[in-house]
Amino acid sequence: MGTKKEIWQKIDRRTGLTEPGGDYFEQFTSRIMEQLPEIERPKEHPVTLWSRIQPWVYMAAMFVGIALMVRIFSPQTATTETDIVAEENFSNEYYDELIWASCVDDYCVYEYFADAYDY
Amino acid sequence: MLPEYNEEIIVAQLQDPKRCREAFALVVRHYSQSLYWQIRKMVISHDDADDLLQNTFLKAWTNIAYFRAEARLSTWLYRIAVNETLTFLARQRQQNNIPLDGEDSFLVERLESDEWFNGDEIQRLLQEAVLRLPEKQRLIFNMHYFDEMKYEDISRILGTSVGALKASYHHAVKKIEEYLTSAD
Repeated sequence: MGTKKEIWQKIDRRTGLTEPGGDYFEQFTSRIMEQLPEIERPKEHPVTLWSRIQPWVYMAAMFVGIALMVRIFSPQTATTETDIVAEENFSNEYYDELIWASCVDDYCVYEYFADAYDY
Repeated sequence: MLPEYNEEIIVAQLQDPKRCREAFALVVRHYSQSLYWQIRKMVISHDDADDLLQNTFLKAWTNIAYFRAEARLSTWLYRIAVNETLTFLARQRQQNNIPLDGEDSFLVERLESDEWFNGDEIQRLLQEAVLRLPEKQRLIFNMHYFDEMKYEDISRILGTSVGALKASYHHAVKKIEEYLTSAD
């Protein structure tokens, strides 16, 4: 049969398959065009203002929700003026009572210091 | 006289419900021959090729509204034709009780009895060798050798890398050469 190169040269890209008889391709076009059904095109949905802003609205709502949750569940750290006054009152009353209960007066304190530094 | 085929204009007309039928007729006229030979080389029989070509265009027509101009029209049509052909061959293999990785021997028999084959001895041997190749290699060989398609175009149709296509083609050529030289 010859060398590989000679074989490929002999074949010369020919298949040996022949064209069907008659005017096949011209007839094919008319035949297929007769068979084509009516096609239904997918309905195009108009772009509304709401569909455009929808993702932004949802995102904003999500942030508001998160902010509210943080406010509700986090421990209160901010102090108001009334809180400070209440705390001061509480402190003074508490220490007065503590001193009174321990029966220690100013004199006792001076005496204690005088003893401590009595060289 | 037929209007000149301009793909850009045709694609735009295909999206227009009023003009799509007329544009599709031009598509059929333009691509029927190349698609027919692509299918025919795979299935050998003219009647089967005719049926598959009709199915290809019918599928293209019913899905024309979904065609986006991101891919070329020719690539899209070739893809449909290849899918139709491979599905048909798989069905035939099943009917002939041939395993998935078996040779398509029924196609060789079909070639011998085909009235539309009048090749000489070497062409008959070549067809026999090609029909013994695995399906994908056969497809690649037909596209690159007979149709002289570029690897890049084949890659777009089959979704395979150019490197893999070159390797497949190389294997196919080697097997064909072995078959032809052993037939001496």
